Amino acid sequence: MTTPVASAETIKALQLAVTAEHAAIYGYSAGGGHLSVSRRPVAVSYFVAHSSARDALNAALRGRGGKAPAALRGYTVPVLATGVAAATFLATLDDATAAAYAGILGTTADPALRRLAVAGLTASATRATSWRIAAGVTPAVRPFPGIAGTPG
Amino acid sequence: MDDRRPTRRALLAAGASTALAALAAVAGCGRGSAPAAVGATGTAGTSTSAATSAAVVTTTAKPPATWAVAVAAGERSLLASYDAVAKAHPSLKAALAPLRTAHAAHVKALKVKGAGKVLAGLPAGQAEALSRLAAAEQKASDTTGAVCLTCPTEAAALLGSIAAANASNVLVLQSMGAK
Repeated sequence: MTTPVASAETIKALQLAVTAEHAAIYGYSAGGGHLSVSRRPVAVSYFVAHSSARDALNAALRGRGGKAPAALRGYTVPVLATGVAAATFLATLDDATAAAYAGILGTTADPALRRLAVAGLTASATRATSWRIAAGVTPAVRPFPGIAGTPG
Repeated sequence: MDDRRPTRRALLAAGASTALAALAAVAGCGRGSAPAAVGATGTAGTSTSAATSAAVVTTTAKPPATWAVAVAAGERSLLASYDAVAKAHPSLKAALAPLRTAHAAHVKALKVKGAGKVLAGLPAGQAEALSRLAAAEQKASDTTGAVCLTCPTEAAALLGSIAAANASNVLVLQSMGAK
């Protein structure tokens, strides 16, 4: 009935998360094909999850009077010569969305947004971990996903 | 349009800076409210004797927040349980170390004092013990994620991150043979 209220800070954090999801969706499309064949079905399911997450964020934004940022025409993707390089790259995309979701959590007490952000943060962190495991990167886990220890 | 293209680095920095501020706020808040931190509270420990300052602290210090107590109990239990499994299965110690490190960091960030209890019924077998740890990690992730929905805003990023870390640990345990 009533439009949920969101601070400018929360709107901005939601927009950053949409932007990160756009980059992830593009990156999965561009990088997924470089994975070893056996890992591609997982990448497809993660791609779908990122697309759904972007849609949910956009809906949350519009429901709070915010403007959904559009995707760019292209994003920088590194040269991915091996399946390991592709998996490592996809991990960085999920590290970035994890950070964006953590950024939402620090701005709002809105339970619907908290739920959306915790789910997004947890899903991103587990996807990043699964890519690091696949790539043989150790450690595969971070003490504080989305907050500290993210590659920059 | 292209010149305002955000880099992944910028996005990470934006997310991380907000969340780190939250982490700092939580750490500061927890320090003041931990009842056992007698020597650490500057106001009570410096000008009076140890006996009286202890009395002052126990009567005036606020108990730790409910959200911190609930999450810290699970984290301390996981920490103790990883130590128990590593002791029983020394060959697993190195692989479990990053997971243990995460829980130690969580406990430190939550600033709630207390001893950790090893998980009840932790199996002796290696694969079974890993499965038990995985189940406990998932449960801790669910609990922390639920607490994160209602906790104070300054603690939300920390709790969300802990829930995400615990869920990520499950994947590592599964890659080691946990069911």
